[in-house]
Amino acid sequence: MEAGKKSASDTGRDESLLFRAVLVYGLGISFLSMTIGLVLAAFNPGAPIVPLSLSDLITGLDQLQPSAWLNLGVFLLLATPMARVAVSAVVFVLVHDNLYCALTTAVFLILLVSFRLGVH
Amino acid sequence: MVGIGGGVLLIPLLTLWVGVPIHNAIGASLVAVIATSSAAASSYLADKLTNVRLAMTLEITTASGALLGGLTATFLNRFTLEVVFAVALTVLGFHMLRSSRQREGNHEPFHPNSRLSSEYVDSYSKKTVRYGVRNLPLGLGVSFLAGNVSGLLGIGGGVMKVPAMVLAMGVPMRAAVATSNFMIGVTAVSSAFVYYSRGFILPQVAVPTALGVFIGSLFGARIATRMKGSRLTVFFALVLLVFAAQMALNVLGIRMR
Repeated sequence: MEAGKKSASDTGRDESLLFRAVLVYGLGISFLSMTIGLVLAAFNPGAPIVPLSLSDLITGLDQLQPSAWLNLGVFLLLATPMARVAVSAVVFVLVHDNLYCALTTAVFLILLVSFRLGVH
Repeated sequence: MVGIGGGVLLIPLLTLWVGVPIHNAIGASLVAVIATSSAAASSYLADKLTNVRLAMTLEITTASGALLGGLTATFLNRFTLEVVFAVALTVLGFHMLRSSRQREGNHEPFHPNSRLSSEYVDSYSKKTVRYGVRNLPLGLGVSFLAGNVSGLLGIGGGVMKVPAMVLAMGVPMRAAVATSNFMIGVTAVSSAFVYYSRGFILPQVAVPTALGVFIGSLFGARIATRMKGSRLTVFFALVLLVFAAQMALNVLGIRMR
């Protein structure tokens, strides 16, 4: 308990900056991929733009399909909060805060269930 | 601008004006909500306003609620979902009209033994505000409901989380808004994967919406600081009620643009 209390104030600053970095970089690469998709779409007006499964998306990236890059952008955006939760779990392990590590892992598991139910 | 993620305005705009089916509009809105809330959350994190531990605790119920809400929505047909949305907009509109004078709850005193207690430096008064958290079970319950509504309707749910934290849990307004934004990404993702799998997230709708709303929110934040908060809330409440009426007419087969 003593260790947990200490960590709340001592590492609060670093935690915040780390979470912030995950969000900013996640948004950045997602928007970059979306922009590449939009540019590709502008150069290939006939290319179909459809929702893609994760595996179709990966093969489409090589072939510079606009649809694949747009879907990747959406996918990276969805992955950003997930990455933030994963990083939080690791942070709580490092500061020996077992309760919050367990809570964060539980949140991550709920997201994984949603991911499994969702993305094929 | 007024602490709502924008989803609540986006969905009626996309369905009523652009003619996007409501399930696809919800999918696009969830994507846009993740973009704006992540951006807002990162600036609140820089200001050290976010109560990370409180967010993690409430995320458990809000994420499971959102997952259930998302699953429910995919089973509802277009008509039912539009009725649900019209009702929700009406309730929200009246709620905003009533609460246009933002009330602060009584802050819960700082409990040194509780890891949920937190502090931040108020940017206006330059004073350190230390506060505790009360009524955690109630907060968990409201978060579950907020998640449910979010998954069902594609909105962030901050409109329920912020009042719950401020009025019931004794969290100061600024910390509540920051913490709510931190949670919204996780809430929206829990149901967004469900929409993604059903093919409801159309990239040609979601990508322009996400980029547009993100850019819009950058300008919105600047305009909002120059307008009186309560007037802004009344304006948005009236917009919501107009949308609710349009959505209701749409359900009855009368299209108005």
